[in-house]
Amino acid sequence: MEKELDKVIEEIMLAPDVNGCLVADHQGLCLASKGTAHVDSAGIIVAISEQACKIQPNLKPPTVCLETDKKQCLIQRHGTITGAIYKQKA
Amino acid sequence: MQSNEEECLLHSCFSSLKTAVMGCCYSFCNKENDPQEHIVNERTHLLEVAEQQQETPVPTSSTSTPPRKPDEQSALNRILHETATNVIDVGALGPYALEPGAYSERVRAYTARVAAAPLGGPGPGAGPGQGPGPGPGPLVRALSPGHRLLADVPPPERSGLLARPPLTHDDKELITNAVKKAAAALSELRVEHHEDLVVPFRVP
Repeated sequence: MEKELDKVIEEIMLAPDVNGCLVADHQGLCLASKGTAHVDSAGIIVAISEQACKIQPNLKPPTVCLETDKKQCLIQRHGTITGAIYKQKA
Repeated sequence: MQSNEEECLLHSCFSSLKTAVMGCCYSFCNKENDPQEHIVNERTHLLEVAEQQQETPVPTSSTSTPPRKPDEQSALNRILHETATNVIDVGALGPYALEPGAYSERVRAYTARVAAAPLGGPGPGAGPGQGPGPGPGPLVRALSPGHRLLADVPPPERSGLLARPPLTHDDKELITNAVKKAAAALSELRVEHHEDLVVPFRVP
């Protein structure tokens, strides 16, 4: 059933510097995870994106970027799906 | 002539007897009911016998209900008493005023306890000692002993970090496209029907 989603995940992983990828639904259920992205992080990622959307509810969902010295985690919501990409800092 | 007089006399006798009897019945019926209910309706008793029959079952039912009610009442009282002893009604306590002496004593005791608590080591970042100021510094250290996940950055570094560009355009495009494609792929999620759901058991 999830062949299309797997294809999209593979495509994302092929992008440069990407270490991990995660897709979750609006309730925090992990739909797909690959690489360094952990299944258990789905809940917190969805929660972060939900709270970020509340800052300016009239605008489209913002992109949340969690940064450390060398890596970053990009989180964005689209409709009911929240996606996260773990990558090395450029 | 005489027959006419006799007839009239008889008529008058009968009518007076009738009113007397009806008056008796009416007064007897009204004895039981409310004195204000003078209206003859569907509830007025026609016969004396019907009332006597009703009176006898009423005393028996009244004797059976009193023993039941005290049990319920005593049970209710017991539950009420138990609740009153076990439950603390905070709303009914009233205003609680602490004496100024007791208040200052408590402040002293608590600050002494907090200061005596084991102090945590330096955090992974700049360190809590270089935090906002010397006042809350030792207190903050005491409250979070051990390794801290997100240490506060000192003001000069903080302004430098916030001044940097937020996110590169490529990264933004990457994440936006990725999530859009994932959402589109999920919308095409469908159940593939291979076999029948209902299978007949062939029992001989």
